[in-house]
Amino acid sequence: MPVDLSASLGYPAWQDDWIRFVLPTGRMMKTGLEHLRRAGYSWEEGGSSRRLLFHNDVQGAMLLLAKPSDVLTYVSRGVADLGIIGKDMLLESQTEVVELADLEFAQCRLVLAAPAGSTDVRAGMRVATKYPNLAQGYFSRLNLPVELILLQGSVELAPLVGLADMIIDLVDSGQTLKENDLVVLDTVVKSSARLVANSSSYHVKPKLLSTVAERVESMTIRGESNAHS
Amino acid sequence: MSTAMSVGFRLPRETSEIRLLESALHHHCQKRGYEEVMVPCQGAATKDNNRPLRGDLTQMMGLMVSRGYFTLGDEVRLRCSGPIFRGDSEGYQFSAELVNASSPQSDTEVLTLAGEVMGIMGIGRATLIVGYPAALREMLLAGGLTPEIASQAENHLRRQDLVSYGEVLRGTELSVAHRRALSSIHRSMGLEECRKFLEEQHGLHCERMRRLIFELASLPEDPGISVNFGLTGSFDYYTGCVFQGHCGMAGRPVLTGGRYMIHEQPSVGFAVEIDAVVEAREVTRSASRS
Repeated sequence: MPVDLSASLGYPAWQDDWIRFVLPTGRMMKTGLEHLRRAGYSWEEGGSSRRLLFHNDVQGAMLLLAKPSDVLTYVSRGVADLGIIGKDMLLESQTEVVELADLEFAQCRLVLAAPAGSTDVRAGMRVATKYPNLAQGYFSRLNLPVELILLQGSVELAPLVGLADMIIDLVDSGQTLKENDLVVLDTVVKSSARLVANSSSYHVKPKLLSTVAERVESMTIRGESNAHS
Repeated sequence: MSTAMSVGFRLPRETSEIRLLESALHHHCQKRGYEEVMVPCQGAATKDNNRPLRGDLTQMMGLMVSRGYFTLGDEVRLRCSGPIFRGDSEGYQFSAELVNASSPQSDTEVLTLAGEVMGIMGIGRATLIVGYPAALREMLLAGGLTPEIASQAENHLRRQDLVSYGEVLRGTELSVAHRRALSSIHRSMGLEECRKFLEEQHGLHCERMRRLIFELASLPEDPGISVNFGLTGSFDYYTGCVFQGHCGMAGRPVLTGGRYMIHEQPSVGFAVEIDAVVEAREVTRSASRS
């Protein structure tokens, strides 16, 4: 057998029997934690304090809480085996992870919206969005050159003050759009929470990850998950 | 003063690790009969290629083969290492290739070597996964998918989007047996499980995969290989089996390889991303400390 270099380089023997989850803080965290609890994983104080890292030594499970925009970084870099993230973020980031299951909560749409009196979609218009890649892809498919304006939040404000002609943004109930006199013109993509895996973890721990994914997904199929969204 | 002495005279830890790994990989492959070659770092820019720095070692070795650097009456075993340049990033690869060999035994030889190399690198639990994109295509078509739908399904698997892949299957009329087979196609299987799975599959490439599994299962020692037909490989030039070496904490494959053609010569080989291995070791070390 070939010689393993671990000892000569001073590395500790590493047993990776633990499973490491990352959940987004914010509106998806509570339902995500409930999904994991029902799948058999829970952490004392998980999500109820300002701590961001939790261990359950009995179950061999670690929980990380991260900003939604950072969840995919933790998964794709192999720090977490599994994560929960919206399909919108997954498509926007184009990060290489394995998309295991549609958890069917946090359902929303990414839409093109405009002020009620100004709905003419035309070349050269300015479109404000937090999703430049998805917006670029959408307008490329329409063969329509536009100017994209990248914003980090409160995108609905942009057309009201003349910064943009239209917006591409996430819509849940549509109430925020309505209150700002914006109307939906088209759906760019539908989104919901997805269970994703690091691709190396998916191959190195296939049984463990498949079991967790099946437990979480089977619960979703029974239609229980939407009650918590 | 000891503090002044140490500054500027010590290699960064990563550099010395890369050298140590590189040396160990060369030593092992030399024992297995792989001859070392030096491949040029920079070729000439052409009107179609204004980025002359090499993007991977395999293609540069192919160039040497095509220019007649080797007599190809028989199988040629080659190895080399060095920096590679992809887009704006730079990496460090070790590569081993078996040129002018088309038998399942040659696939087995290179897969065994890849498994040994994964063992050398000291990266915790390491797994070598084998796929066969052409066999996957045969299975999708034999399962009753139209060429267009099969192509969609294949793309979803390439992007590792198992949700959309499942939706494609759900939207298609399939027999119970075919649905079961296609639903589990992206799951890892041991060699024995794969052998049984392939008993129900037909076609030229499935037959080739069957022969490869037979060879791997006949090895005196368990090669520690799993099969996953959802693995489609990162490069388009593969023509037969593809494989990837994964380890915990790497976040990306540390070894990639497969069967391909070098200027009409059937070849099989792999490349180790040495910097990815060093990165994985660093994460492992941090995780062990915490």
